[in-house]
Amino acid sequence: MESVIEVIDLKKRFKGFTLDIPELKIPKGFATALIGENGAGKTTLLNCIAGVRLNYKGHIRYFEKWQDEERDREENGVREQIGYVGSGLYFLPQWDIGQIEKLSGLLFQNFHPERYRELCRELAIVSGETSGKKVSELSDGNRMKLMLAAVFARDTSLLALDEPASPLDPVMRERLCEMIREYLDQGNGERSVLFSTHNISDMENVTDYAVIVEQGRVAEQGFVEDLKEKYVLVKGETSAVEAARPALYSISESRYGFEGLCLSENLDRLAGLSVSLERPSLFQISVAVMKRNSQIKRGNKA
Amino acid sequence: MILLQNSGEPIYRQIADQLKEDILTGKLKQGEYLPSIRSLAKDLKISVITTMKAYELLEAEGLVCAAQGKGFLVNAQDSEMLKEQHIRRVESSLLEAISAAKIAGMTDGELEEMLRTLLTMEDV
Amino acid sequence: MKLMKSYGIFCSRSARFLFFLTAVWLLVQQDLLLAFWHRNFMLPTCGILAVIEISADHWIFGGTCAKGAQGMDYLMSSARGKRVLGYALKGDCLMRLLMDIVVLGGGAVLAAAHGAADPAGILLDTAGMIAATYGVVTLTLVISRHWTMLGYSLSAASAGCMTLMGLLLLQGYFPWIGLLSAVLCVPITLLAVKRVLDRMEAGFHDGMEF
Repeated sequence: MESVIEVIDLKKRFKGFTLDIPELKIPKGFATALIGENGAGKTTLLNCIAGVRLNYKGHIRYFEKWQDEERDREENGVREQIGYVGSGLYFLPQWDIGQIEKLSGLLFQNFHPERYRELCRELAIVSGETSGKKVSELSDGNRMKLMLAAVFARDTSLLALDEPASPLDPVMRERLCEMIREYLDQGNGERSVLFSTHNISDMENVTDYAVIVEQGRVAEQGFVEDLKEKYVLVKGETSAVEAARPALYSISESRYGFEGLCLSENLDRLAGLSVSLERPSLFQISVAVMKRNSQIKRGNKA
Repeated sequence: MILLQNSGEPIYRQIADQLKEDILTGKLKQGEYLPSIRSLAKDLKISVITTMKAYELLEAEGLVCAAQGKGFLVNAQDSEMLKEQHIRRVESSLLEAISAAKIAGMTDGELEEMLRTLLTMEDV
Repeated sequence: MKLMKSYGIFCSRSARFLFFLTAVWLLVQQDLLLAFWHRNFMLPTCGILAVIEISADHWIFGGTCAKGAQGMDYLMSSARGKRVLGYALKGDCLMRLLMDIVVLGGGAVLAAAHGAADPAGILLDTAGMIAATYGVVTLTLVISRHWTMLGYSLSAASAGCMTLMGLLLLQGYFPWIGLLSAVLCVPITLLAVKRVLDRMEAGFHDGMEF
């Protein structure tokens, strides 16, 4: 499997937090989701990969060709190939939609103004032809749509999107998923998408590879279909909970029974118990992995 | 193609089953390309890895083969294997009928009778 | 050309509107001043020019030096971001200097040409005023770009205006202040460009260094 991004021994330090990724490969031709709790390091990792935060230790390799120090050289066109959408202070608030069009043309050679205008119309960022609307006058949702319009109006090979779904309404989230699928389809295996998200369920049908980040580390990763085979969702009556507990990866109990995730390789340890087995969703796997890893953290502190 | 999100059957298997049906019934002919994994994912509104897994399943069953860099080609289906596949489907449908009959409390005789009646109706 | 193109993109509609309307108005007023030329009549014009330029900057580079490099991520994601921003900042300095020359110098040239006494003195004095206006405005911008609120920009504009008034009055008694302003304009321009670019560079470095 080719990888679009290869992270080697990446470390980045903040007060009370360190991002530490010994190795990570983002597969080429697929959509990869970065999943994790707030403050887990998703945004930091994504920003380092997009090249908008630089003071990290270690290496990032791009398109199996360029090293990070080569990324910033204009003639290599690495940044040109990456479409980055950030979560916060992305455009100056005083810029209007027309200014962003002209600016994008100066910043990126592969920017298509017609496509940008069409996307602005189609995503209903403004009604009618008004390009004088300022970024500061846009709602969070429209601001995200504007960033997406600027990025999708370019011919890129990698999209790095930080929390693109969060400010969007359900209809727009569905549209975002469609846009990502179209983007991948048009690239015919040469284009990849990397996005961070809290909206795992909404994005599940566009997630090929999942990287679950916890405490600045990668807690679990894999192709979603493989993860769904690695883990099994187990449900059972309260009477079976004690017998099942040691075999389970994670567990949540209620008055009526329990539900937990079990590694498929440990399934035989549940033999003889009256439990029902189900294929888990990415959401269920992610929550279990996140919970287990934050439990480890609490355990360490105690 | 109809995909059920909550049927308990993984999506990739549903896709594989429906494509398999198309191949076995001759709707997809030998030498034809399946739609590319990414365009099928786009059309079905599912992830690329799911369609890829469906295609890999079909490949493992020998129904299609991967042409390097070009996608997936429908294999020649020899008639013996086709027949075999059909027989297997009859068998599984009958098994389903038998289990339903047991739930309904039908005797073996009654079930046989019903099958005979249905067969004569089919003749007419 | 590149400077003007980049600057033109950064210059918002609000700022443009403010500039052009006011520039026209000031020119007309300048012509009225012609009849009774006296250097102190130029002071209000300089003041208005300073207020306009400083407040208009709120819609151009406002907040670019604010903490956390406001709204720079898009520029930072492009390999050309820093260059384009640099061009725009230099274009801004050039544009303001041109505006000062046209608005303040225009009247003086006409006055000198229409037989005012001591035309050379008028021109020299005006040159000093242009330098002082440009220098004080540019220096104020270095400070006001650290704030994102319009209110702060307006306060900075009035503070800049007062400073300029004082300086120009003094300049009436000590003409060498004009020369000093002209000399200082060069480092001030460099500082104004460098400060914003440095803030953008700082945006690349968050968290702790190794």
